[in-house]
Amino acid sequence: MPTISEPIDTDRLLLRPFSETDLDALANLLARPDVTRYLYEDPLTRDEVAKSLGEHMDQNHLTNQGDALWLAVELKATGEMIGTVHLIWLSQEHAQGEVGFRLHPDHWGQGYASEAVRAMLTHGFREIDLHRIIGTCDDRNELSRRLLKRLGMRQEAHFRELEWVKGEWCSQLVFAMLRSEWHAQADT
Amino acid sequence: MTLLTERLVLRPFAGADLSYIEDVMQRPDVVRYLYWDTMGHDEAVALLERRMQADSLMQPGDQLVLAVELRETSQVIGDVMLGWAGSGHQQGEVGYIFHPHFQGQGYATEAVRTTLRLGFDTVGLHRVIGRCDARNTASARLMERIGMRREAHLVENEWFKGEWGSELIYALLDHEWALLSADATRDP
Repeated sequence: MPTISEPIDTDRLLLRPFSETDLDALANLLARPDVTRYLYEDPLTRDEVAKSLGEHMDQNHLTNQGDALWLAVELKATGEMIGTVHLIWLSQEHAQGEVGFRLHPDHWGQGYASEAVRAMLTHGFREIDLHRIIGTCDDRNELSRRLLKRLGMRQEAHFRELEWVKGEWCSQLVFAMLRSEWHAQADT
Repeated sequence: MTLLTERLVLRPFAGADLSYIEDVMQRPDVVRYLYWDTMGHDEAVALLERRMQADSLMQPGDQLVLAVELRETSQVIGDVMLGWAGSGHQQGEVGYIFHPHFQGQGYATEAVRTTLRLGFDTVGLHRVIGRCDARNTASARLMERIGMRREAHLVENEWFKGEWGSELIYALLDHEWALLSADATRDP
């Protein structure tokens, strides 16, 4: 059963289960309009963040289809929590998953999101044998779009006016990577 | 719920349609890209029952399936489906299956156009999609002919009949439909 028993170690980051001590950092992150701009939510209140944190503390395993693994992204150099990363097990029958991330703007531009998401892709392909992992973003979210592309994912979809969010029709990009493509990357 | 077009009647399925269902669903060329294999009697009866129940679109999550009858002969030549997505964003999906003997005469195009009209003008959908196997070029061409845009090519997103399958997604928005249907009266 793929519960995270140990944090995932990358060059500069520790991807680890959430704890109550993450409340301040998470509240700080999710109260920012530039972070929630393309999310479904508006900037969250502290109470809303506390509720979210409680949920994420339980979401530390991928046991069944529908489960989501949420991890805090910690900068090893400072011990600071700088963002979140998640992997959703979309389908067992079709071996599909989805990655996502939120990163504090103070730490954008240094490759941390790439490093964290790449580790989650590896986790999905290796630990639960996913065949395909997707990443989605609003079609105006340049940062996310560039990141998913940089990771070597292919843009497979551009859904126009798929959802009504925060008073407007929003369009979505879907990027994807296959297991074989991840293998090929790992070999280079 | 009965819809009339120039050459067709779209109406709910009835018990007498069993022979049509049995005939069409025993054909490998028909079921090739459907989620089931060729059907025997019991499966055909079960499918007909499901279709007879899918006779109205009252709320998001409902699915409507109509038999397509040739007005001239009262023969059933296919069926169309209109699904109202449960997502709450006024999204729908069209589907269609036509007997190979009646392909190549524009009947499917005529029936699907009328189904789109139902979705946009009566149900008030904002966006309607159509999906097909990436190898189903006939289906893709029909959706293109109607004026739908290809929004996605999902690669190996499903384990389908013993191999990885890929999917095309076409879409039409309500304002695009408005422009097209103004022309459609001149071009059946």
